[in-house]
Amino acid sequence: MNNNNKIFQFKLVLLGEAAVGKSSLVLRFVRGHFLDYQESTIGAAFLAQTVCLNDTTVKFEIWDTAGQERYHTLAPMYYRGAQAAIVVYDIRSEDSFERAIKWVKELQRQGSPNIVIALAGNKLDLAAKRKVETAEAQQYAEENGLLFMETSAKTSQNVNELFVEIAKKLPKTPTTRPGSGRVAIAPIDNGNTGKKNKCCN
Amino acid sequence: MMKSDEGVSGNSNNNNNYKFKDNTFRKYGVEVVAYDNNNNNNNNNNNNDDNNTVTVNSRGFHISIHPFSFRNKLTINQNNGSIGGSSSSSSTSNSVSTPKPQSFYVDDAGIAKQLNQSVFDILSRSRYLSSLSHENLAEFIAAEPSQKHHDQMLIVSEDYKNSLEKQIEIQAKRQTPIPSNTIGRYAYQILKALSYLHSQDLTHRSLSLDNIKLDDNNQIKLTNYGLYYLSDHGENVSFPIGNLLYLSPESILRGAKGSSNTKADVWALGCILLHICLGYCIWQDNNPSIVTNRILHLSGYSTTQSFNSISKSFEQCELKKTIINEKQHEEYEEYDDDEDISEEEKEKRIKDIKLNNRDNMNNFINSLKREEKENSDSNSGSSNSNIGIGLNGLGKELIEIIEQCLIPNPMDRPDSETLLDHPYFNEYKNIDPYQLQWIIKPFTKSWDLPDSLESLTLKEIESYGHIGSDNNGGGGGGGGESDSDIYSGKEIYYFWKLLGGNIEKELVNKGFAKASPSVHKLPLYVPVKASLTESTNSGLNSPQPYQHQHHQHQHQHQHPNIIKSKNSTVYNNEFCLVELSNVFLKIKESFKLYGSKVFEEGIEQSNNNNNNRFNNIENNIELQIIIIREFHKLLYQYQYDDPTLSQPKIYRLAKLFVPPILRGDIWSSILGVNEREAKQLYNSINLDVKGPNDKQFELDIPRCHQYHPLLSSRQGHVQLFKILKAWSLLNLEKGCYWQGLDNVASPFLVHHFFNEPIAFASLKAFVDKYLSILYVPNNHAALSEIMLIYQQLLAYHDPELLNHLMDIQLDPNLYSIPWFITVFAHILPIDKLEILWDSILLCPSSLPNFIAASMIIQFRDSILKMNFEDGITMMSMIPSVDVHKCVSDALSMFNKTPLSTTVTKFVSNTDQELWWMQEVPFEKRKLELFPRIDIHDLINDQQKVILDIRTPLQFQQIHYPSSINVNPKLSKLQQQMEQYKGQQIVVIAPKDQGVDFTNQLIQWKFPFVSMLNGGMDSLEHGAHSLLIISNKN
Ligand SMILES: Nc1nc2c(ncn2[C@@H]2O[C@H](COP(=O)(O)OP(=O)(O)O)[C@@H](O)[C@H]2O)c(=O)[nH]1
Ligand SMILES: [Mg+2]
Repeated sequence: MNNNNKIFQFKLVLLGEAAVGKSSLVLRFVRGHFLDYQESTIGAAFLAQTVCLNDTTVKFEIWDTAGQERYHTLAPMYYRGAQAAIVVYDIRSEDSFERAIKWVKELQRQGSPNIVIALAGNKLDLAAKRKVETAEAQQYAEENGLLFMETSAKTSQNVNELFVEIAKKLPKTPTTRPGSGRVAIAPIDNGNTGKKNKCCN
Repeated sequence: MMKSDEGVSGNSNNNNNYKFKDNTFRKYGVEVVAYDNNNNNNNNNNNNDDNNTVTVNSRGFHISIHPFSFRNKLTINQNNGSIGGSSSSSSTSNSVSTPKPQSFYVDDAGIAKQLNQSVFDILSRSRYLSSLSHENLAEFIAAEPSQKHHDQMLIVSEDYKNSLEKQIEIQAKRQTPIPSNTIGRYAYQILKALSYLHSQDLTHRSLSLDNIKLDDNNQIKLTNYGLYYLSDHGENVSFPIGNLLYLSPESILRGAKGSSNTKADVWALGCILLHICLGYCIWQDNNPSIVTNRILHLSGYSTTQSFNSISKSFEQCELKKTIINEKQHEEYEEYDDDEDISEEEKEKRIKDIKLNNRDNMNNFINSLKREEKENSDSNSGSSNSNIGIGLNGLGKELIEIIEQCLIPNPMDRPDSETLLDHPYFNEYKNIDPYQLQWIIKPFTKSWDLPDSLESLTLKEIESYGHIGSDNNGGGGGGGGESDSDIYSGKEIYYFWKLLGGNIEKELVNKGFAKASPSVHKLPLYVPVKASLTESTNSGLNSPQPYQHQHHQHQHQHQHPNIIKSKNSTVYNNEFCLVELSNVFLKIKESFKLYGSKVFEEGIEQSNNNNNNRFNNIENNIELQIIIIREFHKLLYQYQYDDPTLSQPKIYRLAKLFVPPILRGDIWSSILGVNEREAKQLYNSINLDVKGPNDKQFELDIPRCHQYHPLLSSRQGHVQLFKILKAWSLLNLEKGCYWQGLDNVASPFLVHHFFNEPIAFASLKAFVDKYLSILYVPNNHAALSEIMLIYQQLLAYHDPELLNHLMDIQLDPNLYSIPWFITVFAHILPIDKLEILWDSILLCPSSLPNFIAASMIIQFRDSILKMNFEDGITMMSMIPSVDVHKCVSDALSMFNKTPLSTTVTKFVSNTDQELWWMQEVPFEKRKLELFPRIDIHDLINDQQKVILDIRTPLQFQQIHYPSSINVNPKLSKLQQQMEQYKGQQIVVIAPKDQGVDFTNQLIQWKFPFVSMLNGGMDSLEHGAHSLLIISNKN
C-alpha cells in the first residue's frame, strides 16, 4: 500500500459572513471539538489537517479568514493561490447566504483558475429556525458548479464529509507536490496605498 | 429638644490642623494618621520617645465572610440576542427554573451556555454592589465563588461586632433603654442608607436588628443588603431572604421570592424602630405562621390571629379555620405565575386583596400607648420601660414616622426619601457632616463637585474634613503636620490576602466548613428562617421578661409554615468575622518604615539608578501599603485638583509598581481621563438610535473573552455593547469599528464595571493614542507599515530568527495582524494583557512593536527548527508567553534601539534637493530588512560603528568622524566585517544604494544594523559642523 500512498497538499480558504461558523467548522475538522464561544477571528488563522482517500493522502493547509466586511481587503491575500474554498453561510440567515453568493462570484473572478468551491450551509442543528431552504441553495450550487452540503460544526454532521468531498474533487496531478500548494503571500495593494503612506508615530 | 448625641459631630476645634485634601479622598474604611515629628517642632503634646506616631483608627472595622449557597438557574433567553435593547435584569422575566440537571443549554443564537452562567451573573452583580459607597453602609467588598463547593458563594464585606441587636441587649442589661434622640439618629442614619440603596435601585429586603451594625463611634452601618439583589431577587437562592419578623405584608403575600420593592424596607424600618423603642418585637412567636398571621392581621387582612386591643394580646380567632386564608393566598399565587402582569398591576391586585384597612394597625399602636400609660401610672415595678423607652417616650414626630412606615398598603406607604424629608430629621441633618457630600466622596466614585466651591469657607471644609475620630480620643488631638490616609475595605481585604489571608481557610478555622453545607434539603415545606427566628430569639440566653409577659400562654407549635418552596434550603445566616489586627499592625509598621520623605527619596533613587531599594514590590507589603497611599493622594489630586501636576507623578510611581487594586484608576489617569468630562461626553451620546455596527456587535460580544466571569455575564454584554456603540457613534465620520475593538474595550470594562462613562473614555483615549491610524476605513497602508517596522526591529535584534522566518516564508501578515490591531488584546487573556498594558501605557507608543518582537523571540529556539506549517501553528502558542519576561526584554530592546527606527513620520517634502527628507516609498522600504535611523540617533550615541560605503574619493572629501570607509564589493567582505558583529552598525550609503549591502549584513546574522536615512546628504544638511572635510580643493 505504502508505495501507492501519495501525499497531495492543497491550500484551502474559508470565506463567509461573520459568525456563520467558519472557525468552528475548521476546529471541528482539525481538532474534533466545538467551543461554545469561539473567539472571533481577526486577520486570519491557519490550521492543517490531512484526509485519507483510498490510495492517497490529501493534506489541507487551511486559512480561516475574518468575517467582518472590513477585513475584506485582506481576503485576497489568503485566497490567492488557494486550490479550494469553502464558502459558509448560516442557514438561519438570508443575509449570510447573499454574502456567500458574493464570495463565490469574487472567487470565480479573482481566485485561482481551477479552484474547487464548496458551499456550506452551517448550523444545521438549528434547522428549526431555518431561513434558507435547502433546495434554493442546492440549485444555486448546481448552477455554479459548486459542491454543496449542509453542516453542523456543533454536532459535526457533514463536516468531515465536506472536506472529503473536496479532497476527492481536487485534481491529483503530478504537479501538486507537497509544499507547492503554498504561494508566497505578500501584502497586496488595493490601490489606496499609493501616496498616502502616512504612518504611525 | 436637645441633640447632644454621641459621635456624630466632628469637633472642629480638634481638627483645625488637618489638611483637608489629604484626608478626604476616601472617607470610609480605615483611617490611618501619621505624625511626622521631624517636620514639626512647634506644637505637640505627645512629643515622646518615638519619632513617628502612627495611629490606626479602625472604628471597629472588621471583615466578614458570609457563605451562601446559590442554585443554578436555567435561563431561556428569548430576546434574539439583542443585547442593547433590553436592560439586563428585566429581560430575565422569562427565566424558567428547572430542577433537571443539565450541563448546558442552548440559547437562541445557537450558543451553548454553561450553567455557571449563574455564577457569572452573581459575580457581575457583585461588582455593582462593590461600587456603592455610603457612610452608613458597610462596604461590600467582594463576592467570590467558593473553591470547595461549586454551589457556594462567599460574600466578603465590611463588618462590625456591635449591632443594634446587641446594643439592645446591653442596654437592657444596664437597665438604661436607648434614649429617644439616639433612636432618632438611628432612624435618620438607617433611612439615609436605605434611601441611598433605593436610589440605586436596590432593595435590602432583609433589614433586621442583627444586620444593622454599629461602629466604634456608634454610627450605623447596614450590612447584608446585597444578597437580595445578588441573588436576582431571590431567584438564585433556594432559601427565602428576609427576616420574618420584619417582612412586609405584601412580601408575605408574594411568597418566598417575588420582587419585594423598596417600600418593603420602609416597613421593616418601622418594625425595627418599634422593636427598639419597646425592646422587643411584639408579634414575635416561635411559630412562623403565627407571626405572619399577626402581621397580616395588623395589615387589615383577615386571618386566624387577631389583635385584641382590650387584653392587648393576639388571640386565635374563631372565624376562620385555615392557618392562612388559603384561598386568597392561592389566588395571589395564580397571579404570580402570570408572567405578563407588570409590577404596578401586581401591586394593584394586592391592593384588591385588602391591605387597605389601616384600622387594625392604628388600634394596635394606640392600645400599646394606652397600655404603657396604665403601666407607668400603676407603677408596677416590672414594667417594660427598662427594656425600651416605650412609645410615649418617643415623641410625637417619631411615632408618626413609625406609623407611616407601617402603613399596610405599599402604595400608600411613603418611600425612604420622602420620610427622610420629614421635618423631624432636620436637626440631625444640620449636624451631619456627610450632608456636604462632595467633600467626602472617594475619588473613585463619580460625583460632581458643586459649582460653588468657594461658597464654603475653609474652616467649614476643615471641620468636615475629619469625622468622628475625636470620639475615640486616640485619633484626634493631633497637631502640626499630620498625615492621614484612609484605606477602603477592599484595600484592607487586599492587604489581608497579601498577608496570607484566605477566606476559605478562615471559614475552616472558625468551624464554618463543617456547617458549610449549611443547606439542608428539605421537602416541600420550609420553616421560614428557622435559624432566623432563633437568631432574633437569641435573647434566649439572656432572660427576657417579655417572653413571660406576653407569650407565656402561647403554645409552641413546631408547624411548618406558609412559605411553600420545593427543595428549599435553610439559609444559614451566619457570618464569619475576620481578625484584622495583623493588617493594622502592618499599616502602622509601614508608616513608620517609610515616612513620606523616606519614600520620596526612595523613588528618586530607584528612578535614577537601576539598583533600586524597591525591588520585589509584589512581596513587599509595607511598600505596597505606602504606594497605595501615595496613589490615593495623586489620584485624588488628579481628579479634583491639578491633573497636570499629578499626572507626571502618577507616571513615575506607576513605573515603580501598579497596584492591581488601583489599576483601572491609574490607567485612566495616565490616559488623561477626567471623570466629569467623561460623564458629560458619554451622556451626550444618544445610544437609542440605531448604530451602523449594532448587528456586528451582537455577533462579536458573545465571543469576546468569554472565559471571563464579568465579560460573559449578561450585564457584561450589555455594558460592552453600550461602550462599543458609543464609540462607533462618536467616530461615525473618521473611524470605524474593526472586529477586535471589543477585545480592546474589555480590560477597561472589567476595571470600570458599572461605570460605563469611564470605561468608555478610557477606551477612547487608548484608541486615540494607539489605534487611531488603524481604525479607519482603509488601514492597509498603516497596518503594512507597522508590520514592516516590527519586522525590521526583529532584524535589528535577532537577524537569525528573521532570516529563518523569511526562509520559511512566514510573513508577519499571516500572524501578527491581530496583535497590532488590538494591541494584543485579542490574543492574550486579560490577566496577562494587563501586565503588558501597564508598560505599554507608561512607555512611548512604539513599545507595542518591541513587545511583538520580544514575544516572538521568546519562542525563537523552537521556531528556528520549524518549517512554515509548524511555525504558523506555533503562533497559536503565543498566549502562553511569559509576559513579565516579554516586557523586560522589550524594554531592554527599546533602550538599545535608536528612536528613529520606529518613528516613521518623515516630513513630506517636495523639494527634490532634500531627497532624504522625503518619504521613502513603501514599496522600496518593503525590500529593506533593516530600519532607517535619522541623524539625531547617529549623533547622540557615540557607540556606533559607522560604515561608509561611498567611494574612497567621496569619503576623503567629507566624512563623519571615526566612520570607516568600506568597499561593499570587496570579495572577503564577510570576514572583514566579522570584527564588528554584535556592535551597533550604521551604514552611510549614497542615494538609492546600500540596500543590498545592509541586507547582506542581516543575512549574515549581524544584529543592530541600521542605515542612516538620507546618508551623507542629510549629515551635510543637518550636522555640517561635525563633519570632517578635506582641505584639498
Ligand atoms: N448551534 C451551532 N452553533 C454554531 C455552529 N457553528 C458555529 N456556531 C456558533 O456560532 C458562533 C460563531 O462561530 P465562529 O466559528 O466563530 O464563526 P466565524 O466568525 O464564521 O468564524 C459561535 O458562538 C459558535 O459556537 C453550529 O454548527 N451550530
Ligand atoms: Mg472565525
